[in-house]
Amino acid sequence: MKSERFGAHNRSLASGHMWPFSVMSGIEMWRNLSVLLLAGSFGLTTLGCDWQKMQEIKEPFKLYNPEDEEKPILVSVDRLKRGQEQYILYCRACHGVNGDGQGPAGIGLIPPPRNFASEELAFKFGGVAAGELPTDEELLRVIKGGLAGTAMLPWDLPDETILDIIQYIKTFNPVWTEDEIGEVVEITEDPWGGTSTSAIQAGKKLYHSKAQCVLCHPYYGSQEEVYAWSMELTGRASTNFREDMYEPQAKMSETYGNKLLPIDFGRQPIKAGATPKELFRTIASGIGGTAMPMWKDAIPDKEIWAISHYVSYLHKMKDKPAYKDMMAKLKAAPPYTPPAKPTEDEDAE
Amino acid sequence: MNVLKISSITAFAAVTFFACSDKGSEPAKKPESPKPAATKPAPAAAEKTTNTATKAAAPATEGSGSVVLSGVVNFTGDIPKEKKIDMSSQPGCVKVAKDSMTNDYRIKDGKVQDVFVYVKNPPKKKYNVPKEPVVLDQVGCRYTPKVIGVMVKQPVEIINSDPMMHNIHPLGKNTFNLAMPNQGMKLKKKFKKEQVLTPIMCDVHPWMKSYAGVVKHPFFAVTDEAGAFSIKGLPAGTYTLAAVHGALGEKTTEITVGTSGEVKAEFAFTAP
Repeated sequence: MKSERFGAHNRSLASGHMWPFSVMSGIEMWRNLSVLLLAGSFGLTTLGCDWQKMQEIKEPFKLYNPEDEEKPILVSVDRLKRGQEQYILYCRACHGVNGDGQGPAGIGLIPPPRNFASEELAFKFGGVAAGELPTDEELLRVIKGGLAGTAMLPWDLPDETILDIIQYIKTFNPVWTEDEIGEVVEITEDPWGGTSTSAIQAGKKLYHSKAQCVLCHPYYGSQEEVYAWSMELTGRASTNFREDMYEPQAKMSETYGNKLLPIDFGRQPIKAGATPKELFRTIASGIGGTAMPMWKDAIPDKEIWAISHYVSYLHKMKDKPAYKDMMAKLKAAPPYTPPAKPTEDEDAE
Repeated sequence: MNVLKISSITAFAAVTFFACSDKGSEPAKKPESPKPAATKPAPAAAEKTTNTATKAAAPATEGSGSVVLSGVVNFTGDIPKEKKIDMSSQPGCVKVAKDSMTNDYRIKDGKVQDVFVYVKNPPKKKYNVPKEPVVLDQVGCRYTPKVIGVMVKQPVEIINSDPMMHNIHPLGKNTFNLAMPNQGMKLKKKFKKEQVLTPIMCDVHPWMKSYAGVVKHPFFAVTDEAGAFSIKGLPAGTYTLAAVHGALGEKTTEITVGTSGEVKAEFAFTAP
């Protein structure tokens, strides 16, 4: 159909005279164009711009056997195929068909989906000593629980399905054949018997002085309070406060290749959970690939529990005016001048 | 459907395919890790000890050789300048640090300290692992020494002599990350994998940097202030000797040792 509006240049297209449409009428040509466009978009969505063959499973996968290095534990082809099917269905959109975290839905996510194929494979919340490979049960826990504040949702799938997927994921990385699995860090019983004011108070003092969490994480107390707490717990008063004491200090992660922020508990989500028990696990194990070290055996379990209760309490203030007011007041306070005393015991955090 | 319709649909599909396959084959972003320049894993090949025409081969039992393999690592050219470390983010360190300049190039009179010298291809066997620990201390917010040489599964005693927390965080194959909050605290750890060099860092104090040369045999040494090293007990044979420095990289040389006496070797690094 000729249209004067589009001028002489487009006349040939509108009337079907342009190659390759020269043999069609205008309407037929537009119909074919729309079919083409539909076909194209259908192709794009199903392929997901992820035109890579998923690996063909031909043989069992070998898992490192700590009892006998020569006899690896085998994961059967059947199990791997089941796991692969489920992985492609649920996980591959973000984690990628090759497990590299570069699935079409994963690109642009912050934090990015885990790259299971990485040479520097490090699971953050594996419940084992930071840096070690997690057990199947720990991976199951993370997948079922999800990671708060990230795109990793809690997956409500049967345990068997998830365990099959976990075995399949191991095929992306030879490290599962070469290295032994880590030991799960024991979560001992809470000696405080649950959340209480005394647990939170004890945790607050430890956090700001003896355990020195404040070297990376923000302070949540005034200089005067910290001076008193450190004197009480260590006999040495903190007097050197970093200028950005109410902010966390960004730390370079050599594993992930970028700076990561130690959590500000009143402002950010706590990925592996903010109940005291979940915090105990994270603090005791450390966070793989990051600056957060393993605290189990560095300080007594009772102290880790106290700090867990305190951090859990802090996190409950997230998004509430109480937190904002508290931090505003702390930041506005003038620097504290400690009372003059013999210089002997003054020392840094 | 005529040929033109078919070919245009095919062309469109092909464009879709290629556009998407490009995206799909994008390599995953690899995080950068601090690889010490030019480290190579020791070759796994079992080398037969070869004879030179004049020397008889000794049975390859550990320590049987009484040869002393020694030498020096030299440096020519302008030594790269050290930088001042800004410790203001951790004011406690400002107080205790004895030295706030980087120490990546400890070179004096053309001799290089902190070089890990080791035999890349000693006779392949199970060597005795010493029970004696190698000590790594954290003092004045720095590591002492800067480079340690240790066998796989040999105990390493890590001490925190400072009045503030450090975390001991080796990277690479021997990674772990442990909090050391208390002054005087000691930890005993073992490195399980061979790696030259395993970098060691502290996250609380990001300028802290040290290295461990971890190998499965006892034929290694770390050069001292005079750039000198000495390795004893290597059985007769021809080997590749390597000198690895955290910032300067690696140099190798071929050496042949007999059943007794002294063998000298030298390395020459130049300004990077």
